[in-house]
Amino acid sequence: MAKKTRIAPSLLDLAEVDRVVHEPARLMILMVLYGVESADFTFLLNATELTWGNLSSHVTKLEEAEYVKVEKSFVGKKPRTMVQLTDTGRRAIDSYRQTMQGAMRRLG
Amino acid sequence: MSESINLRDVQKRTMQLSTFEDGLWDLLLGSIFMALAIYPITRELLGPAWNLTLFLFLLVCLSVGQLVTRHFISGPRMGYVRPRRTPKMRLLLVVTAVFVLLTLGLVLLTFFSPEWLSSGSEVATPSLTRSYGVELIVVFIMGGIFSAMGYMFGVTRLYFYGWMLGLANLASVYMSHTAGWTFLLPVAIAAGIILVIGFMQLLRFLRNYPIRTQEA
Repeated sequence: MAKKTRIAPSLLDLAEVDRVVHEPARLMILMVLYGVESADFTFLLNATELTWGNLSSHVTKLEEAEYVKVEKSFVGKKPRTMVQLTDTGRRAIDSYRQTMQGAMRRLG
Repeated sequence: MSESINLRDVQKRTMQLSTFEDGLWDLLLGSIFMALAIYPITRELLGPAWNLTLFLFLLVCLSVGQLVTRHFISGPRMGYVRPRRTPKMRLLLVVTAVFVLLTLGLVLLTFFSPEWLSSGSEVATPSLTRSYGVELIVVFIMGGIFSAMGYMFGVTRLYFYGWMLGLANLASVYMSHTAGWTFLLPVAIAAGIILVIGFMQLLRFLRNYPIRTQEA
């Protein structure tokens, strides 16, 4: 016999949402990266309007979850950090969107 | 969240920021059409072959200039983006390139049609291609291409550019037929408007996007 949960079935999906993606700042970063091959830190700063420190900490979290890949290089003497969405990250966004859309539909 | 997240809107905004925010694209477009507007004048001075060579050289210089400016002025302020090359995007690029070349070809053909298309050998004989039907096709092709780009990238001013340039071309041919004007004044005015918008966009960009440092 299946264990009876106190949570309403229509809310079960929301409880299973990927919390790495669900955080607003990280969601913004992932959404921007979803449409491009890769983007550097400066572009992400402009597109998300986060501060450098905030962006850096969120990108680190996404990198730890293997949702993004970070490549550091030098152009001339200037450092450039390119951030790219991985296949895992792309699948995580697709899954997140489906979960949220389904949950919102059921919530009415 | 009060609104649903629209991935398409995010992609449009990303494209706007990476391509159209600095006004350099507008400046390139305006410069190309300004060069086209003075093309008949320089043609009389230089002759057809040298004029075409000069025009192509100018096109290369403008394109390289835009890339260099983007690298040194826009890049450090806006950042760098590598666009995603999906099959749909590649197809779209090919179709756009074909239509742009077709339009440029039609514009050049309507103004500088070769002798083999003329019905007679006299210079004053109107060419077979010099009918308003061709210009109307150009209006719709230009309006269509720019409107499609404006819709795809979410840049409203592109709709205006397309129809304005198409109608300016039609007006220039009309003036050329009726008043015998060699200078393509309507095209020059349209190009001038695009250049002014481009400069204003560039100034706004330089004000709104200072060079970022890690400490900022």
